[in-house]
Amino acid sequence: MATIVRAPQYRLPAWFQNNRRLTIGWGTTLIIALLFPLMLNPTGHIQDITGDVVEGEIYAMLALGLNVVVGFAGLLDLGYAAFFAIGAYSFGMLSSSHFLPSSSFSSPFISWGPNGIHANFWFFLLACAMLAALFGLILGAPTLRLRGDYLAIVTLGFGEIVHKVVVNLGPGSTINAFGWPDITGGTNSLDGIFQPSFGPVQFSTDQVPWYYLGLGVLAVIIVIAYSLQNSRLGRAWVAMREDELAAACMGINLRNTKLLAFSMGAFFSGFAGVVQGSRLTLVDPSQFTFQISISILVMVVLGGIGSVPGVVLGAGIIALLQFYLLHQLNDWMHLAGTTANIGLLQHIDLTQAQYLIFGIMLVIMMIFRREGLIPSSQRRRELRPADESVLAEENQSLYTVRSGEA
Amino acid sequence: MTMLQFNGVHTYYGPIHVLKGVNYRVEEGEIVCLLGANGAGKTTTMKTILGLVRPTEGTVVFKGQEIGKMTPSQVVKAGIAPVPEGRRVFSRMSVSENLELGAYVRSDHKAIADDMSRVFDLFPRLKERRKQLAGLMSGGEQQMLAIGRAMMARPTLLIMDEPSMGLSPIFVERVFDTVQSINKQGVTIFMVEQNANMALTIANRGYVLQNGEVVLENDAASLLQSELVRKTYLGEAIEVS
Repeated sequence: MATIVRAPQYRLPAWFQNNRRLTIGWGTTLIIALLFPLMLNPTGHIQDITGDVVEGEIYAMLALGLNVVVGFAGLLDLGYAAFFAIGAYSFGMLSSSHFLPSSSFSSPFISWGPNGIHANFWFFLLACAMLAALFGLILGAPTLRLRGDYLAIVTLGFGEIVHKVVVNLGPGSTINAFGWPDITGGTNSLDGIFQPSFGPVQFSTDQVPWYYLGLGVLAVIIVIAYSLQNSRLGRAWVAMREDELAAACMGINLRNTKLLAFSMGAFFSGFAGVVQGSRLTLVDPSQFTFQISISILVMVVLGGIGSVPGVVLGAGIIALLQFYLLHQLNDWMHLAGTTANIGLLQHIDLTQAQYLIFGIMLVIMMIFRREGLIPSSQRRRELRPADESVLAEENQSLYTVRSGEA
Repeated sequence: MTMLQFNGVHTYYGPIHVLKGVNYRVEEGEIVCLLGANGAGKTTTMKTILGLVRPTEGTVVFKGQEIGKMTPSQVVKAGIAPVPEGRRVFSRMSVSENLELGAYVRSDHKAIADDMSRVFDLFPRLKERRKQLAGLMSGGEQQMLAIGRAMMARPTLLIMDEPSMGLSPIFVERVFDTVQSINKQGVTIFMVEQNANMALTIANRGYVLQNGEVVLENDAASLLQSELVRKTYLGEAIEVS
């Protein structure tokens, strides 16, 4: 009688088996992302394109942060650019030649002298993000009792206030008459921000180091976003989004849960602000307008509210449209216009119609795919409760039920 | 031991005076039932226990501890679990996710898994449907889930707001059976009910609330016999003299 010899089976880690699609997806993305600058031009760097790609990475950081507030906790925030501004300005003020102190001081974290203030980038990347998180709490506290539209209006107001404060704390505004110094640079922008170095790598106009820095920060944010989603806090957010009263009945502290959503969301945008400020060596109020808040919200909605990969994809698509596709389309239109001798096509400027295009995209989305391009399993269930395939891939239960009951 | 006590509690919604100095007492191991017409203050009583409404006067004492100024999360941690009015299950979450959220205040994972098995023993229906979205279940199943979810917090006191509301007669009976068996496991129960007949059948004692005041308080059997309850809640014909 023949005996069947079984080859020893190699078993993949349980985490990988449960999240195979996720691991493969992110793994592929990571490999492509790591090799991306080489693929563009193996011999040198195409600075323009990688610069826009870094911009796209910053969009993704912002979108992931807003996703915590809007997607996980269900709190509509229309003034999210404010936290981006707080991160960028706080780092800009602490690490530039904007302020020229007369005294001198030196420490590993921060040093100052007549040449300006020098803050340690790596330490203040975290510190400024925490400051943004603190402002998240400050915004969150008075809005605890507000929901839906009312919350959106207050956050919208907060975004505008931060923008106006930044403009008005600069030169040439009325506060100078009262002897206030120039704090933010106002519409003149705050420039001369110092750029970091990492070992032998000096960050400067070459965008490739920035690209890898952005990738690193983004990876950290993605890991944090996933762990938040699967944490106790993440569950509390979902419960609160579903039904606040029922969530309170479960013993969820609504106040802390909401405040943590705002501050965690703001924390991510603080990272984005520091990287952006240092990369461009200047921060200007025009970078933090209401339009930016709306663009970030569009990325979240387009990609899939509450879905980490979706939101990253959404940011990528918006960045691609804004920095590349619209310009390309413009050129084609102009070419077509010149060839066919149509005046309208020769002078059309699609970059001016950016928000119109975003708007049209959203309308189409809402008709055909409300849950976003890569929907979160939660959101998909909410919008398509009867979909059998959705029920089949039900989330793993946190607790295993006594054996023999499967 | 006295589990829960209201001492002269007054509550207001803005200018509206809802509870006008009520006194309740729930002893350990009892089922106590609160009867009353719409607007009498029954749900407000439940909200006051939970800390969703603050008493302006008087105290709410749970196991010797004043809870009138606590937040809902502190109250749940202290050992009171609510089954809210209208069930309020998380309709877009699965049955097991709902039950997991019921154990939100606990962190003893092994015991939570045991309790989940116990809830499934109590409600085999929920075990069958544990991967289904709660919102797609019938009202009766949702009520079972709401009760199971509250049990996941391992409460010493279960407060139930109209557990029979909107259920078919068969489910009403099932719900009251369940309430009794939970009580036999040692959980004290304080419930608000419109179905006076059923509620008083299983309860030890009862209170009748009218316009924010307790007008009658007695053991359940006597309440069933009392004229006020029979005429107001059991629909007995009122003799016209």
